[in-house]
Amino acid sequence: MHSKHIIVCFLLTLFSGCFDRSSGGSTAIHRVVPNPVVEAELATLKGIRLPKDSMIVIDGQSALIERRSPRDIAFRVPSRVAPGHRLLLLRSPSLKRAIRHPIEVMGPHSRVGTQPQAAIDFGTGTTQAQSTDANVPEPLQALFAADPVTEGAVAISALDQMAGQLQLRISLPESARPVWGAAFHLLYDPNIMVFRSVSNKPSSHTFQAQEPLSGRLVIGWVVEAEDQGQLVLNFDLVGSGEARLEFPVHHRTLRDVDNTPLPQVSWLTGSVRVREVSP
Amino acid sequence: MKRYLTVLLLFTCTAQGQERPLAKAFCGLGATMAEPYQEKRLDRVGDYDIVSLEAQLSTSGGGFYDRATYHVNVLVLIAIENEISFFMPGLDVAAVTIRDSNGNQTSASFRTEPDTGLVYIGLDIGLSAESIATFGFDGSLALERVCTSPRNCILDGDYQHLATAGWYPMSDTYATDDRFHIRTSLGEPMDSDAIGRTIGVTPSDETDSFQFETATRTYLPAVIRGPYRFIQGDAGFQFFAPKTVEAVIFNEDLAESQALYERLFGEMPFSPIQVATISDEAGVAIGAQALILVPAGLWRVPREDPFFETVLDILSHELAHQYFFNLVGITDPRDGWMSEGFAEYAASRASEIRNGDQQHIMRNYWSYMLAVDGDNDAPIYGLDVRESPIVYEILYHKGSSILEMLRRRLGTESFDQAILDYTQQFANQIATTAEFEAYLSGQFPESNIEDFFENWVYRDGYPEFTIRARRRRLDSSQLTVETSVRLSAGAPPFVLPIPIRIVGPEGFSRGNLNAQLSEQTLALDASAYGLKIDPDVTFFRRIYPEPTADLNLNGIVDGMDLLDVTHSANRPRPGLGWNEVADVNGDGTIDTQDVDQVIDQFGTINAPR
Repeated sequence: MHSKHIIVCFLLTLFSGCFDRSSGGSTAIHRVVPNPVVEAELATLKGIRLPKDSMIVIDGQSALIERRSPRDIAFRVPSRVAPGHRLLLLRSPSLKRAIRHPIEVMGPHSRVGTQPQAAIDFGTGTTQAQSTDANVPEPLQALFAADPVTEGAVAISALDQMAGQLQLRISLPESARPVWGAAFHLLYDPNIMVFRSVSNKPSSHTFQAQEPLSGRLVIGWVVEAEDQGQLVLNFDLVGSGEARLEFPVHHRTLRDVDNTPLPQVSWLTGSVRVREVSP
Repeated sequence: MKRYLTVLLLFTCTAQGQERPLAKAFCGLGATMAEPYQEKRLDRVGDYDIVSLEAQLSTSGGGFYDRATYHVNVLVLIAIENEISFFMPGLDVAAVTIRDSNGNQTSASFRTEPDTGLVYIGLDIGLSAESIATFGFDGSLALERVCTSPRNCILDGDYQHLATAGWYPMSDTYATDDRFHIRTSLGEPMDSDAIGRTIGVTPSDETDSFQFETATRTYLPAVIRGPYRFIQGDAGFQFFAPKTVEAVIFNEDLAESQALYERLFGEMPFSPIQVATISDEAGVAIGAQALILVPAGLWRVPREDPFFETVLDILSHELAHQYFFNLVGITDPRDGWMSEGFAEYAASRASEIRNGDQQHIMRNYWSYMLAVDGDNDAPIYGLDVRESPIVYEILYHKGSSILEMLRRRLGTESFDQAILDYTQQFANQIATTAEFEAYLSGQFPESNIEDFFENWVYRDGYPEFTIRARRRRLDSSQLTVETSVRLSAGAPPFVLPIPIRIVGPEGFSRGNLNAQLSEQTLALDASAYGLKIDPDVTFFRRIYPEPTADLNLNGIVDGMDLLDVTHSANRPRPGLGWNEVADVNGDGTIDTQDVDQVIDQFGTINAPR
């Protein structure tokens, strides 16, 4: 049963870091490289269980697919896509709903000067000398330093890490007025981490997580009892560096059962430091 | 043997849209009055004033009343030489007599115009100015012209009624304490088992209990009869219930409404208030002078039935007609909202006291707003509204909403006092929309009452705002709001500020958008996260965010919008707490389809331009 699955997965997540349902059997987009993409040029969508018959649509225009595998789709960015932030849609008859991924499109004369360290163009080889797989970056490891936790605060903590990944747990405070809903944006440095999935909450009418811009995760969450006030977010590490996480003040709220904002809630975050790990 | 009760009453019908044939039919009772659908003040006759009227109804064969004799006393204002006319389309006149001030009575020649309802009486001897004359009319009731709908009359079965809309016999030449006097009597003895007894207001020293007198300017005659159970209620109410009803469930609630109305509008002008049964087939309740007519089925709705609250709303509305129409007369058909809108507003106040919320008035507001499309609206003031398919939503629901908006703008205490004073000032007189507007303007000279009336009373429609919010940086505290207004082609702009709330975790701050500006920038409070447009609904408008799922107008469709639409889905129907922007797909209900819309647009950002 649906809710039962969530509970089991959540408990497993707490103690052993299971993957969420999407990573267990569903298609997911991890990232697009390069990002920004360049109009009329090649780019690569990376993910898992990418359907063989999938199409890529950007700003209403289909992209020409040059090559594909279950984990990569090389495509040519449509030439008439206007520069700016756009949503890439991955569509397939086997998908119930199009999967969306935010990208930034640049004009043909705006080639990216420096690319994120983990951005590896399809088929161009790697600069990582010790890599064993041309499509996999050098193993990276994250260290999360949380702000000192106080009572009555939304807080972030890190779970046990696997190489190349970061699992963050967001915990809602316990208060006299139970939290009915939470909504927030989470900002992070897209040069060191990209959002992949949520472990304990599948997308539904009462939960949505999207990354409309690189480095910005948008969450809407009607809290259910089995959630236990926690979300587990999965990120892929894509480059080394250090940056703070942020809950921007204009985009965060906790609501009680009347959908009234809970006042005087602190939102605590922390810093992420990603470094390369020698094999 | 069935025991019938015959009732003579004065009333105002709640079905404004159906009044025309009724009014034409029964204005014959009073004769002489100007056709009530002419666009002029109807309480001024011109050549003569009616001083008093006596009407006697009788039956020729033991069935419902079918004959009538009227004696109309007139004061002649100017000399009338050859002919005098009376408006009495409800009577097929068979004979006319004239009695002069010396008591000399003669038969008179006459001719009728069925198309206009006018009766012209030849005068062998002219009438001199300042003289008194009594005209006698004898004939049969023109039932075929009256009974155009079950709401007008039902002449067989258990509960029978013959009802009309009002006619308005008054002149301005009389002092308030010397009003027009109407007396109607029935041609059966009071103690007749076959007929029953008369209900209605009669002076305690009046020996003829079949008579009903009124001194108000608005008069609505009707006759009802049936096998009633008489129940003396609390707070002076007298109930003429269906025979099968043992107790009146709504007595206490009706008494509460009366207590509220006496506080809001002044002492109940007619007493006792009688509540009597009519057939369900009528399909309408009627708020008459000193009498409320209630279809039989409504007496039997149990308190625990959700429909019981609707029964109370109906009764409160009809009770309010004691003030609005019967005490403060409404005669010009363009002013229909002054009767029905006011009565409905009063009912909403009663509901507010009873339930502790404003569900009733907000349901009215949205009923009108969602009923309007491009073609069916009409100004609430005027004659066009009567041709609209949504006449009920306009007169009743928009009318009551207009008053509620004024209350919110002017403050409950100030507005209540103003309405109390207005009711007393216009008691036993005719009021018009223009007079009401002028009265409010005098009471609230700084409140732009003229603009308010111009926007919501004298014109139809309302502005539809498309609002697109954006930030140069998504986390900036500077929110730019682009506003575009949709109006029907050729319609003049609405001149009004747009009240807003800037909402955040600690509450909200108030502000205004300038509707004349297509773009304006707001500085958000430190932690504010969005806007609400006029959440108090102080003017008629629709809001369309762009994108449609940006409910909180902050430039991005995100989790806050998901929470708002999900929470609003608990109140899916228009009414109190209904969040109009949460009806993302605009189908008049908030449900999972609207949540789907938010999900489909989740993450959409209004890019800076």
